[in-house]
Amino acid sequence: MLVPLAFKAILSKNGHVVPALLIITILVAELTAVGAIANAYMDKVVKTVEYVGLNLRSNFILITSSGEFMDYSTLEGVPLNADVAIISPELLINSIVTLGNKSVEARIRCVEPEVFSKVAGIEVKGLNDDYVVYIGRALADALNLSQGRTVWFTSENEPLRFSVKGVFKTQTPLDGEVLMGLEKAWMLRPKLKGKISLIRILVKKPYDYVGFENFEVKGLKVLCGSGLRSALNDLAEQTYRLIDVWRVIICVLILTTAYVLGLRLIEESKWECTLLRALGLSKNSVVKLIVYELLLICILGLTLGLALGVSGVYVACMLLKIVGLLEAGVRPLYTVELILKTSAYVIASTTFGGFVAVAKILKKPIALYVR
Amino acid sequence: MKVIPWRRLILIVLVTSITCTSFTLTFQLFLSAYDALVHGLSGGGLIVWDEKARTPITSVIRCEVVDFLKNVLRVESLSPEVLAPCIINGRMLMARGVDPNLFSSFEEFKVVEGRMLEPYDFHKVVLGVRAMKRLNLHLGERVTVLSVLRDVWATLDVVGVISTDSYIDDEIIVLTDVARWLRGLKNEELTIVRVSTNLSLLSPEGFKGVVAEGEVVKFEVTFPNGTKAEHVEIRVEDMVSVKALTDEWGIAYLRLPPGSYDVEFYLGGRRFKETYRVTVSGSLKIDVKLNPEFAEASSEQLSLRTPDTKMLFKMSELSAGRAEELVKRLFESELGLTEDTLKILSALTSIFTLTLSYYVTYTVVSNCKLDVALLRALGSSKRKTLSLMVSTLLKASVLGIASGLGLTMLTVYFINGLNITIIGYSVTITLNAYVLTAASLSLLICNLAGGLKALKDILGKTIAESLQSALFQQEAEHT
Repeated sequence: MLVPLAFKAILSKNGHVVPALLIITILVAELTAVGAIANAYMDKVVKTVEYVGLNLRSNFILITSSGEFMDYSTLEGVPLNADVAIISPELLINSIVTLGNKSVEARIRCVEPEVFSKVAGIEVKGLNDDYVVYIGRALADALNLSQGRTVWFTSENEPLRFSVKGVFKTQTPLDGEVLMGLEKAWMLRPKLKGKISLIRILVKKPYDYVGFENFEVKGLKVLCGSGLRSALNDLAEQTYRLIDVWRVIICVLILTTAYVLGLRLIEESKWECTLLRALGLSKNSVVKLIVYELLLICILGLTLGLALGVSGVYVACMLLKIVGLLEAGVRPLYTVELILKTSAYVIASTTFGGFVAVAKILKKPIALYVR
Repeated sequence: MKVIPWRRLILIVLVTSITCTSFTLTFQLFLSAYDALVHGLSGGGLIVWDEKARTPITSVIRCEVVDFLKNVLRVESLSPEVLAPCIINGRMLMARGVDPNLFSSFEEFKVVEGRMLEPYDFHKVVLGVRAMKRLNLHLGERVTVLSVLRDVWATLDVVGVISTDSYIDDEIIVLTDVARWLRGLKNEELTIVRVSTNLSLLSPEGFKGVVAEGEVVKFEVTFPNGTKAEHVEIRVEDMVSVKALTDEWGIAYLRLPPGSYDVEFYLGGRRFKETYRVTVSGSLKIDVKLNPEFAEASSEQLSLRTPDTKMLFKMSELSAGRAEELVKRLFESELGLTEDTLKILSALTSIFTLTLSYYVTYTVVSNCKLDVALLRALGSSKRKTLSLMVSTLLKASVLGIASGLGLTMLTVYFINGLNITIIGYSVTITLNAYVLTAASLSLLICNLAGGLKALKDILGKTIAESLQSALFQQEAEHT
């Protein structure tokens, strides 16, 4: 019963309703248009990435700890399937490497030689058999080291002596590292016995997170080599976050409009509200009536705004293309999410703005209005 | 004299204030985002890059360019860098690979925590101060840096945090070798060289004196007796660069593998030969001077040949200039996105927003129909009534605009605190005096236009008509 009454009421107050409706319409149109243009640009970026054929899939999966180390036993929980080619546990530690009077802090990558050789493509045999290490070319140059020399590594107890079994060159950051057997590393750092830093998994085909979708161990992170996908996701998130900030600004305007409109409606409906209250209508029903009036205006504004946004942005884009300020390939892109999001923002702002205004009625007794 | 009730004036002030904030923020937000985009893809400042690349950050140039800039163009301060987009903790940002010594002497920065990189810090990373906050990382933490362009990663330890008061604060700093790995470049390749020099030196005009393979350098030689030689030329083959420094002599830089080289040149039909020895791979400097004995010969042509050498880069492939300008041109050609496009879109948005202010003023003044009619009935002239109303409106508008500007500043402070980013670079909103002035003036005009339109409607009628209409409306409202 209240909805038709509210509809009749707004028709009788068109003097104030029309400007407010116009403002809400225009603001909704703005929200829709900007969202559609942002969608269009994001779509263009993704399509360009796909077009140039950049790899969105990866050959490796990396399991790291959110802390510095994880238990070696974590390996047992790694899901094995036909696509997993190699699993390489690695421990990364920093140690002072001393050669004669020269000392340098270096990264030591402690590995299981057999699997690491396959993963990295470097022959590092016999790392666990004796006190030997392999040294990367860049580090070897820095220390003026060569095969067969002896180096000292600081340990928790006393420095340990290792012999350089080989110098490798990979043109990767490994060239600045020392490769050591995992068992020997645990001797160098007894406190880290049974610990590793990461698990490197090489897959046969480049799949994303193959079999790892449900791999969840507390404190572990699964990383897929495809940084491009993460980058695109983050890019979209950053763009939409920026637009969301602007949406809030526009929504404050809509809220203000709704508040002003609410105040005007109450001002104009004072007499009828009082009459309705005196006739026995509850406070809640009167409030509902005003809110329905507001919501009707809002829904009307939303509908008109969406229509204006869709058509307006097409016209604007066309004009910008004609004057050469916009590329021909960019077309506004409307999604269900965009429409729903805009609607939700607008309805929330209008309802809130209206409620603030309507709340004033509840505070005053009927007698005051009648007087 | 109060003409418009204060409650209604407050409405004008409130709406003007909010409209002003919306107007300025819409402009500033989009323009600041554009700036962040430009900085993000530019690499920053005055740069030398590969002209074939679509953006400076996708450029690939040879390391020898650094020698060329130092030795030929005499650029004293430069920083060869490799830029590699990467992912840390799911966030995209730029890894800037630097030579720590050159970077430290080129860029002014403050070490906030820890220390700066050192030449052999292969597994260390220094964070820009804003990147540290965004990634929520701390000194001593170990991070896994995923490459965006390749299927690779690097595990690095955070050793320091720096502040540069520039877009570099949003980046991470690593050694060039690490950045090359993430980017997929070879050992002898770079992305850009940032330089600090006279821009004209790096302009196409500045490169004019520098020639590439296959080109011919013409020397104007003046002999001791004052006559000028004709057709004295050096044919450049397989050289890095040759720059004619004076009219009488030139210096050739050649990059050769170690060994001995016979350099032959001819003048006036006579063959001359000299042997140069290169001990390490690098530049071989040959001073090409005209010996006085050649003066007697009618010099025709001087050619310089170096056997079995390889050209490493061509000058024509290099470009230099303000990185930001290059990216702006790219945005315009590739995306059709310019600062003007954004300004037009923001202006369109703001025009819609201004209608709110216009209609509120119009409605408020229209509601003062009875007050105006009464004033007129009491003997106030049209002009007097108009000036009274306009001055009241003006005061309310100015108050609204002032509070709007204050609200804008507060909102900007708040939004900047949110650390909004675009392609990994912070969108820092700065207040632009032109935008603030445009917002203030347009709001003032809109408010006055709305008020005057309403007044025109009221004052267009006779006093009796106005009174009758106002009283009738009031009566109608109450019944």
